[in-house]
Amino acid sequence: MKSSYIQLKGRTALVTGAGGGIGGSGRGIALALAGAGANVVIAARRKVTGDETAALIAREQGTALVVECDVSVRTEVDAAVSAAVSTFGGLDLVVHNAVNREGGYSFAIQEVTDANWYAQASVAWDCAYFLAQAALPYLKRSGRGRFIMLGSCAGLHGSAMNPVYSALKGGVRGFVKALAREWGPYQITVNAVEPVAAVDPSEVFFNQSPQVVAQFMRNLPMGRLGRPREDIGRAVVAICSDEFGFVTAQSIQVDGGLYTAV
Amino acid sequence: MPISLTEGSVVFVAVSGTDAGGPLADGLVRQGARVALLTDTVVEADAAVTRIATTFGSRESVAAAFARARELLGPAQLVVHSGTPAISFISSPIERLPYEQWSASVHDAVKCTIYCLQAAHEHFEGRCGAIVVFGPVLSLVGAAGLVPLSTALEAQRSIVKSAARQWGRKGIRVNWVAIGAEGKYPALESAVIPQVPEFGLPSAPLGRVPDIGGDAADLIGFLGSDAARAVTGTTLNIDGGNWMVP
Repeated sequence: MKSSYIQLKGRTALVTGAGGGIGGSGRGIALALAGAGANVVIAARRKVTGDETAALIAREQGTALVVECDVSVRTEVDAAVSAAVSTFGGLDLVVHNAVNREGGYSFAIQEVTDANWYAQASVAWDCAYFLAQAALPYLKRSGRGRFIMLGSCAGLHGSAMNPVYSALKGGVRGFVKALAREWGPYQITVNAVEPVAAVDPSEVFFNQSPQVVAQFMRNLPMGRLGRPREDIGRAVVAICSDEFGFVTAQSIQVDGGLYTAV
Repeated sequence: MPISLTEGSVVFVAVSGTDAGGPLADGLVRQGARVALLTDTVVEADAAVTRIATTFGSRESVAAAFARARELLGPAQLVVHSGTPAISFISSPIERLPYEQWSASVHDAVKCTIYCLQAAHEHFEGRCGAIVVFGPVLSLVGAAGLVPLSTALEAQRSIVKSAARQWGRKGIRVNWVAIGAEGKYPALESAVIPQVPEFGLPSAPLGRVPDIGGDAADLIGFLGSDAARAVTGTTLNIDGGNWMVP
């Protein structure tokens, strides 16, 4: 088992969108959490991709459970939380990473339709609401509960051609600020991670505009995109650790220094 | 260079869900503007304000209201918008928040802003113009019991930045104004509003909370003027110095 110096042994994490492909941040986060000793519940829209993530975790002697889950459906989110609790005896860490792939496609604000909005918002936002309602009793019981959402640099700076994705990821900042105030008395921290990473939506976006890639890379002080497991996953592990027990309501950029004007 | 709207400027004020449109429209009229107030709320406003009852539930209905405003007053130089459904001001812990309230507070709010931005863009096509979107300062600081409101406001603030980036070269500027919530959003009286770290009221360094018809209208008038020609995509926080963010 690849070990992280931050041990989460005995804690249970639920990660949405954890069946993502090779470049998926959810898979990287799941692997990093398992690597730190957590039991990981892989909530995946397609079981086959969740099984792939679970196999990678098993290969490193980690513990994982796969739950097929359309995160835009409340009953399926409830079932994923119940599965975590019934299998591992509790739930300590929730990581909402799932996004709709449409977030990677470019379109102008004047072209946005209600269908565009709901396709992405039901995954990014409704799931967060469902998760918060379903997980709260167990996060309270944990005594060191963590609720983490994946934001994006697009929410911070406002992407010219990804208006819906930008709005939803900006909304994540508001969600964590408000919920952190609400759940602070329970000692549950609520934070967001805003990565610049080689993950699926980025790939889709970059593939449409190769010339943007070169310019983007020039602006990255570290000269590369974040790696799903090593960079993004470990940042999530850090937030889950006791060392970050007093850090809440923050949107933490894990972006190699791209955005310095916050 | 005037730092406010010039006499006779046309302004469309499109406000959904709160009565903030009334005092704001009055404040802009006092600056010499000709104002159309597009609203779904019963509000008091100066007789000089042209009222247009508006439904913000679809792109078509908002576009129709903009078309009517243009018919009555001519093309606008400035569009001012706020979209915060009344239900989003009702405080509730998230675990007891019904889905209907969640959905109306987040989805309807952001769609309303998208519709207004789309209508404004169509209205400005080929001409320079300014758009100001405003909301409570809770967009910046969050509030317990108001998760959906904070979520929607931050989303609106992000989409303002997207619009500013996308339409800047067309001469359309888009900015966000965050207004100190404690004093002028009566709907928030029952909510748990965060205070400054020093705790307690009065907390604003300026010793008072901002007034929408005066302080906010003046700032918005500035953002609509030529003096603000290089200002776009920004967030201006008008709360008397309470939070001093970002």
